[in-house]
Amino acid sequence: MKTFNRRLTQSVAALALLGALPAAAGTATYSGSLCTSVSGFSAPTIFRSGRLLNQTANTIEVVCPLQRNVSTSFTEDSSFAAYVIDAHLTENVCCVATVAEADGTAITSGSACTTGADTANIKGISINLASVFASVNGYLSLRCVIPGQYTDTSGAKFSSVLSSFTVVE
Amino acid sequence: MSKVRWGALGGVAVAMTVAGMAWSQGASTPEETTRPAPVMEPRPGSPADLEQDVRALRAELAELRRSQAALARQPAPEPSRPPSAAEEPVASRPPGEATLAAAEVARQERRQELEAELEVAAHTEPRDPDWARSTEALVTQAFHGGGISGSRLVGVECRTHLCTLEVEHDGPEGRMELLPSLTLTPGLQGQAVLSPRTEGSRQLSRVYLSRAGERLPMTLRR
Repeated sequence: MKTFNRRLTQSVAALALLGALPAAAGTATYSGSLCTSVSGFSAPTIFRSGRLLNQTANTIEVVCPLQRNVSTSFTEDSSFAAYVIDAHLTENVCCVATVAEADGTAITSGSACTTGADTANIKGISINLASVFASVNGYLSLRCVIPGQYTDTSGAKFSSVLSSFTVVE
Repeated sequence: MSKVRWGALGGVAVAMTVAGMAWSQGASTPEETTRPAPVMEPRPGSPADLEQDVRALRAELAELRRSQAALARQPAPEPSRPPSAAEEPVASRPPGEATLAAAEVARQERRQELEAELEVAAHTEPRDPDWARSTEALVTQAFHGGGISGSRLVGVECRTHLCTLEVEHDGPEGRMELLPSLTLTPGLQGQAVLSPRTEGSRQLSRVYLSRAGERLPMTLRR
């Protein structure tokens, strides 16, 4: 029993030390609920699952914060992904990933959109930024345009959804 | 008889005590013998071994940071030239700031290197007339359609995979919002890089825009 306790303590200590090391560049995923509407009075709906829905009749635009996982190094390559439901028959969900300097000047950006419509299944939007030119205080953000509710011929309404987004740096 | 009985009972009690002690020693012996001595090396892969590795790596990292800071504080390799005023504050800054300053110099160098590569592509790439014409029209339309505010298009030239845009801004706000607005324009959904510059009171930017779905021609270090 004593031996078990001692080993457990050592394991916990070793894990705590490893956890205290500086975070290396890697992947981080966030729920859509972190995004904020920049479309004036049109507000998105947030479900308990953390998904963000556009239940209004108009297109809304949201901005999502992203954590940079680098300290002083120059990031050569970074990728972003947004997982969405594009329920609109004629409009698409489009996202722009941006790297901005600390003052807000966007210096690198890339964008992508969904194609077609699917009221049930999640689609991935992938964006690759060539190089993160920003200095250590520069920041990343994702901006997505989500179409309004689509109403079919029977009157049923379908909302487009931003479930989550991911950054790989 | 009674004396004999008490003597026998006492003998049995002593024997049981001795046997009990021997048993308890025997039971504790394996644990005592397997317990590592304080000076013993931890087994490879054990938590103690990992702990030692982490300590060693931390010490190595601290040493590397010290070396990097010392290198950043060194003057330029010209012994006859006195240190300039611009170098002086870097030397007197604390190591953390010196490290950041060195990283910033490296970043600017890398940025210039990549922009030079983009400029080469912009000047040497052949022109795909169909794509170039339609994309130039899309870019012009994006600026005149009201989707981009606070910036004016001075010139645009497209090749096969890359367009270069010269843009003048009314103020910093226009420059800040240019790329996110431009790359949301249908048909212009590629990679974009903005290189800001100031000419007198004019705020200008050179924008490199890749063909939709393609990468900008930059050789990345992996």
